[in-house]
Amino acid sequence: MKLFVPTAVVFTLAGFLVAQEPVIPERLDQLRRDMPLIEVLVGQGIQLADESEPLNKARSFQELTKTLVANIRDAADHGQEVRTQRLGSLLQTTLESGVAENLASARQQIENDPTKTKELRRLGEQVLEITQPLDPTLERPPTSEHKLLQAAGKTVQPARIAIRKILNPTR
Amino acid sequence: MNCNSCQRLLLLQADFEPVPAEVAAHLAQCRACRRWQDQLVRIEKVIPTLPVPPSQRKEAFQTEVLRGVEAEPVAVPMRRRWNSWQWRAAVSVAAGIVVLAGAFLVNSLMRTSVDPQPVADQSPPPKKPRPRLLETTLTAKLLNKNLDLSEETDPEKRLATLSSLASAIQDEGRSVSDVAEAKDLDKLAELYGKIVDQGIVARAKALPQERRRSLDRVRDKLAEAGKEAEKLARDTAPEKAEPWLKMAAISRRGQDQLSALLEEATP
Repeated sequence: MKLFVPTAVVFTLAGFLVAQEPVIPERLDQLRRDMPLIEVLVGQGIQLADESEPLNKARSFQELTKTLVANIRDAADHGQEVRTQRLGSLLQTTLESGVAENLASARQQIENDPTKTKELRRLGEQVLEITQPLDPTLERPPTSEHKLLQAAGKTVQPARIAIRKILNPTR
Repeated sequence: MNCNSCQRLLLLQADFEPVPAEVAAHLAQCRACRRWQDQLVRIEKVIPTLPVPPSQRKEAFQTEVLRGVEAEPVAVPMRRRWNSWQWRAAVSVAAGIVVLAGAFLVNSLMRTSVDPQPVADQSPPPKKPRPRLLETTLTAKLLNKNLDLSEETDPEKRLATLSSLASAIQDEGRSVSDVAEAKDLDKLAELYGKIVDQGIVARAKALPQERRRSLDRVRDKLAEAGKEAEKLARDTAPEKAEPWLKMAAISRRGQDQLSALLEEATP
């Protein structure tokens, strides 16, 4: 019993040290693989800091969507399951909080402007087209990379539906 | 005489007839009873002005009472019938209650009409927070910051977000510093410089002078980042010191530019 407290303290400290985020080569690998995406994100941040139009903000996230879809396809082609999932989550958040939110805001602002309404529709449709290869309802050959794509597609599907609803609110 | 007896006797007084000597003596020495008497007098004065709603019930009640009295004139003991002072007392108390209730109602109405009506909240309902990613990777951190920048419209808050965007890059460099090669850190230093020069300093310059006071916080953060980069440059392997020195120089340059903008804004 006398040894219990010191032992517990030692184990707690050891656990604390183990729990510290270790700098592992995987993190560096990830950084290197993500570097093109990081560059896009940094550029986008600078641009968004000076942007007030929701339509332009949505366009900025559309550009990011392109990069993310390309990265997801690349990760799936290389059988990188974790990376595909991680990028799928990034894409879902981009579509939901970036594209859909700004399209919805833009829609309220430009209700009586047919030119901008047309622009909004085109932008939304382009995003749906860009993400079309991830549509989980697509018929695919049962290869592992297609399964990964399908899984990522399931992750982003709610956001795609949200965008479709913004484009066709009456449906 | 105690207060209770005094007040009971006051209630029995007809109109404003002189009070008995013993009551007067008590009133002379009891402030509470004098106040009570004042209230009673005020109530009696107000009673005739009270509006009485038209009612058939009063007449019916009187007829009923009179019929009862006529039917059993002897059977009803005198004690059970209210004499004039009992009626007066009851009416006075009832009137007092009515007056107080009326005063309360009038007071409430006046307050309602004088106080400005609470204006319906015209501001839009609070926005549902947008979903964010768990910040485990640099890409997730950057995306979250970008979503903040997209949502935020206040230029000062955007500046603060840009500042945290730069911090995220520096933090990542520190995390991988031991295992990274100089070219990896160099790339991060380049991105750090882009955020500071094209983001923070550019946006700070666009701030109107009266809003530049908040720049001191961003400047201080850059100063801290610069010091940390210098320390990392000292602590790391010589071949990896260069990117950290580069980051330190970028921080110092940004810090100087923000200081100049702050000086311009100082009267």
